[in-house]
Amino acid sequence: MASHGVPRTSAPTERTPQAQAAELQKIQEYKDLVELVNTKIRQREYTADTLALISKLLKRNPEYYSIWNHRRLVLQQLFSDAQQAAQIKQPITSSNDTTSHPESTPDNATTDAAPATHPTQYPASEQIELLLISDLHFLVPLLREFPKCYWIWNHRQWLLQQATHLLPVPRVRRLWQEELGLVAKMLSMDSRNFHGWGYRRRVVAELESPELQGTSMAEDEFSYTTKMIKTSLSNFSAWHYRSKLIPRLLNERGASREERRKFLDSEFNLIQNALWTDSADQSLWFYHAFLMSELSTTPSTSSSSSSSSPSTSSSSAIIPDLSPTERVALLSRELDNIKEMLEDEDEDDTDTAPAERKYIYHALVQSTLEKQKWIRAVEAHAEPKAIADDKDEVQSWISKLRALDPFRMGRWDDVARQVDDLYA
Amino acid sequence: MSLVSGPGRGGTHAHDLHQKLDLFTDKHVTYIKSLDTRRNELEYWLTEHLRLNGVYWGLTALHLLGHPEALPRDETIDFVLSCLHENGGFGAAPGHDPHMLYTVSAVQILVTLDAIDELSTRNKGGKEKVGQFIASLQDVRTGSFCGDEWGETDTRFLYGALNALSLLHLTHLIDMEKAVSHVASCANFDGGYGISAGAESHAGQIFTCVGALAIANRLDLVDRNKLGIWLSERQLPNGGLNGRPEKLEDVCYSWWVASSLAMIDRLHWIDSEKLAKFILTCQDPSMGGLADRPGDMVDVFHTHFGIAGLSLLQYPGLEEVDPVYCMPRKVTRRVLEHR
Ligand SMILES: [Zn+2]
Repeated sequence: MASHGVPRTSAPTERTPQAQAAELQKIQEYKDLVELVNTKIRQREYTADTLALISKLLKRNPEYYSIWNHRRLVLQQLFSDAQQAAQIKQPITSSNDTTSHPESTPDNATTDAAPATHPTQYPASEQIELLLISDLHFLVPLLREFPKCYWIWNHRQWLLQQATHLLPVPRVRRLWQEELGLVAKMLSMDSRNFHGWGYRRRVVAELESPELQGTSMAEDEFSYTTKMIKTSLSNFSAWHYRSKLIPRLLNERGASREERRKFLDSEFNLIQNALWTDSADQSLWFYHAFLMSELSTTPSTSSSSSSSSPSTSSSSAIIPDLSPTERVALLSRELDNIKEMLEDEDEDDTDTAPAERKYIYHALVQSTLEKQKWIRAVEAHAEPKAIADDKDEVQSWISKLRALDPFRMGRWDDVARQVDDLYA
Repeated sequence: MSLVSGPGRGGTHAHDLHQKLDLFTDKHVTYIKSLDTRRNELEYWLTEHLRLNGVYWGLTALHLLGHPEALPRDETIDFVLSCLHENGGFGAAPGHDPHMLYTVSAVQILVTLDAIDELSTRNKGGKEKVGQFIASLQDVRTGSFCGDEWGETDTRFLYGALNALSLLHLTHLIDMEKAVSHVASCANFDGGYGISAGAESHAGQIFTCVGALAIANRLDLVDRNKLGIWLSERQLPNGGLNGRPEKLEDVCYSWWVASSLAMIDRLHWIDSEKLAKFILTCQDPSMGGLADRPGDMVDVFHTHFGIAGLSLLQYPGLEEVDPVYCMPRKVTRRVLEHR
């Protein structure tokens, strides 16, 4: 499958004989190091010296995944050595349940690890913590240099998981907490790095977990997305994360119907203001479409709203029980808001990019189609004249779309067909 | 096979852009054939962890270019089998650890060469052993798949598992229903899919999720219009496609975006001619190969996905590609009756 960032070096044909000789020398050194590491692992020399050699090799080539596996084998041995030295008879990765570890609940120590006493247990976990922390430190410059390398992020996650298994809860929490700082720094360097965002969600889930005596961080994370969006409106990663947090946030707030209405309005306000700032930004339009889809769950799906099928993404997350009449009213309100933008755009046509008007027309077409579906759901016999007027308008928008964005002609053809079907 | 970038640089001169561009088939064949002769470059050794993927990319590109014999068949099979481990998994190269990504490439190469039987005749445990390795990586609780014993999960691995197991006719080894519901849990408000539940939509990940649903015959779960809109918005004014909003175009997304559109019957939602033209401008006309975008060094990864993209767009002279498997349609038809 995919790999990116294959380094782009100068071609061999451009090299002098000296440069070629130097390259062969480098190849030999690299191959020798690989061979040395592999030999140590074959001979099960899982020692601190081998770990140092592995570090040297991974700094040269962090994409060499087998070497990361070697690193974990060595670390597991070092953890177990530390435990044996402290005479704790406990398998390394036997349990997810940290609360049963003697370190975290000293009261249980007598039942859990009978021969050991507290003073001898702490040195082991301290030594393990030192090993973990030094490995976490080893990764930081690598992450900065290779922020898109899957294996580095994986190894980091593995280290933290080991901490969860092997260390007392307060220390584990502190380590995971520090990760939040690191990931914030990474995301401030590249606010769209999806490894960074994924890792952030992973760290948050861990900090929220009962194993670490955590509580929900949805409010904090929601504020974080607001902060990231304010830094850069076109941060689609932040908008995405926001969409995922909203249902949880409202549930955890125990939000009433009224509060949910207010929340929806405030999200619409936020996105409208953003769109007034930059209506050519597709990240904003996708989030806008998300809010609109909250209003426009198709009538057929919502009639069977009792079902909780995991695959239907169409049930409203913000206000689960909007009535068809409310939907029509809200859709009309938002349609008016978009139209206002269009009027503004039309006035100074000279500096309006086609992309901006395209997104506006597209939103108008989509929203009108959704509104029409709901009007039909409200009244079996909608007034024919009103519908016909609407149709002309929608068709004129579609012709604008054809002119503004000929690349996607096939899409506009399909939308036009949808319109014909709806008004047939 | 090497993943070394260059020696050529993709991109024709600016004045050529308005002329009709050709596909330099012979140059690309020569380029791919020459890749394994670059052992005097450090990068050849630094990219060893992608060797088996590289063979799949090179071999598939050659098949699509109509030169299936350009790589020596026996040598290729020998190399693939030299990456096989006791447990049925393949590593990237001899001595590298077994992993899903390379096991899938190995299966795709062997299937393309009609050489799956070599696993039995050479006493390598037969295809069942390989199938068991893949199946053992499913998380029975969530339906997702790990890449190897160390536990990283990713929708790429799930797709790979379904791809390889269906080619081996061994999908009964896994819990398909759970796999499908895991994919469904990765869907987002924009109709796209991410690397895991909660993760942002990404064109590469969309290809793997839609591909997995296609193999499971569950494309009914995809919101085709929503996803089609998001995917078609990946096309930029220069004709190229990006992988996420506000990102740069890149030849490899010609494959991930366009094949996903093809799987949901929305390929006509982008401008094929403009895309083909963009891909062609990423060729090196003199030394062969394609780059991610004009001006960059060529490599076999972008050469493969560029050619596969052109095939999907029915560029004349190319063999047809299967959008779900990213393999020659001739091959998937031979192996899978319904294709
Ligand atoms: Zn690329």
